[in-house]
Amino acid sequence: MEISTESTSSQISCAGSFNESNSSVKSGKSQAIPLNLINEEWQIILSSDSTALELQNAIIKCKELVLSSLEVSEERKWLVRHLVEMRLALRSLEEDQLEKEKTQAKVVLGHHFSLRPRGKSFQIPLPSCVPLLPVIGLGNQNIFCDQCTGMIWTVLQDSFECADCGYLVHQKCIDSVLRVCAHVIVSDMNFPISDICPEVGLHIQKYKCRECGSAFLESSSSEPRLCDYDGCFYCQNCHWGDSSVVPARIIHNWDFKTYKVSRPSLQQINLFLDKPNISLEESNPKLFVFLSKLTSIKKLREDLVIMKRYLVECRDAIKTKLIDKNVKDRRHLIQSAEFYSINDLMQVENDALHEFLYKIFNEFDDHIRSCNICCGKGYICEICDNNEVLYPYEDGAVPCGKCNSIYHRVCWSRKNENCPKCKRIEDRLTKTQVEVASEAF
Amino acid sequence: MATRKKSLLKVIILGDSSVGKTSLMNQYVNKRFSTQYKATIGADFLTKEVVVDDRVVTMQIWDTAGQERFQSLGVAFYRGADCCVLVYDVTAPNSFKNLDSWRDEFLIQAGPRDPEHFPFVVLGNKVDLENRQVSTRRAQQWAQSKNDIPYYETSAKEGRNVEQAFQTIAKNALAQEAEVELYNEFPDKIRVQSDGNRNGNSDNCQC
Repeated sequence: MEISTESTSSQISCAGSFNESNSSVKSGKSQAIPLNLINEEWQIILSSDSTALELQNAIIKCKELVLSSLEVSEERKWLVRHLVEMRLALRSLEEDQLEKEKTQAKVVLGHHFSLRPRGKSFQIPLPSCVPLLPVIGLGNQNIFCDQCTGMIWTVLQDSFECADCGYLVHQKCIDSVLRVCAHVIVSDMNFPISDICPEVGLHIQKYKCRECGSAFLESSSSEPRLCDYDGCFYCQNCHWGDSSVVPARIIHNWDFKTYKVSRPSLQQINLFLDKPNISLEESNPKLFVFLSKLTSIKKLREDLVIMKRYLVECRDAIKTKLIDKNVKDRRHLIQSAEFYSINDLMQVENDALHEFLYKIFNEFDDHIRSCNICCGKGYICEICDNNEVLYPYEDGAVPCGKCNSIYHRVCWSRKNENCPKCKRIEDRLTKTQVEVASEAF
Repeated sequence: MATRKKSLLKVIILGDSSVGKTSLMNQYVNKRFSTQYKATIGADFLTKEVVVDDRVVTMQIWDTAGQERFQSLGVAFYRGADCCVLVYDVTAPNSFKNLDSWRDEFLIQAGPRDPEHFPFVVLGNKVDLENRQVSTRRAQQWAQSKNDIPYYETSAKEGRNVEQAFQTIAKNALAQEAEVELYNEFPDKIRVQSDGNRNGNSDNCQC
């Protein structure tokens, strides 16, 4: 469609703007509406944020107006042009919608799948604090579909990734996913399997893959593969020979070697890495006798738990976010001295945890000793009455088990562990009891 | 040595829970009062500049937790105190009875040089309330028996007597300072700020 240049002067001024504005519904602004259509303006000229439905209605109306207008008239010319613009706008709106649907997260069996950008090289979402990582078996650039085990050609094929467990899948395979999201399983379990490779045997599994249920037949090429984490057998499609540390082996044997685990187990172990739910001393108390570095970590953590009590009460420490800045997202380390995550244990072994905690200890200690408020909440050893301020986390300090007063270790043993404050409390109690009794008489 | 000026006065407010320690301090320092009760956790201080005998001094007022469960940490801040304010609630006889033990505990933990003459001030708070249980006479008698401690009846809510009470507190604290200076050869020794690192107290057990 051409724009006539010999039209009325009012139209000439806006002719030529058609090409720029053909995708905009707002074209009515640049292209003045013919005067005799002014009554219909509200129905056919829409703002740019109008919905598809509004556009459709406007298109129908516009079409009617085209048919009812005179042939070769200015009105018709304007209307046809406007109709084309609106149809283009509708098309682009629909395309946007389609694109949105495609990229929107899909939920399948607990997985939260989102579309991976094409051509994106493989990046494993590493847990925040892992310096050594024998856990993840996939180190290369190629990525494979967890469903069909085929390679995902990232440049050509659309693929989805689960935001929770990292499950990767072709777009074409997304509807046949069988594996429940490891995140769902892990949050149900709370603790990783605590027995070392609890193998029962193939007969319990009825000679079928634990995961996909495909039968292990003599004729078929698939061999049953043992997963060291859960002691079950898997087919080749579900056990890719990935290596990982095994939580139970760390807890019971302090063994950080990697073992062959199945795909679902690997995804579960990876999700357990940062979860502080291992009560190590309860599971393996002898370990603390056996390993001196574990003992020193335990002492450090106990000290930090005490220090935390000072810092959460101190307005300066709260204002400067002293705890958050130093501990970041590993709050459990100073919450109690009891629980460890697998990552923590791996860092105990390579001394990174000691370094981390020792740094925090020094930061906290610096604050407490220099802060007016925290200093005020130190202790004075009542036994020797020295002016030196004692803190309960110091090596030379010992608390009374009953009233929590702190004394020098030496003074405490010199006094045969008789707490003077407890004595006073007791005296006062008997005194009031005597008073009450005498009043009763 | 005698002319050494100490510009910081340390005042400790003690007493049972909910007698109005925090309210008294807030009324004095910020001139504010809230009817809402919020238990103090641990201890914290506010500072206020006051003029006593034409001298400008900074008062560091330590407000403490009255509830034992909120007092899980130490009370090293008692050391070096210049005055101790004992507060009770005139509508709660128990809070009055407990003044004795608050005073004893303070003297032991603070370890002042001359416990007999250490300046205390007793405040009977909440006199604006009608159900009064501890009579003025009873409180005055107790205060007199303890070496003539000044006694005030206050209302943190209405601000009654608060200014006067703290003026006395500042004055007595300063007077105690002056007295200590007279016979204290090493005045720094009793200041809690200076003993972060062990200073050579050869007379005391170093442990």
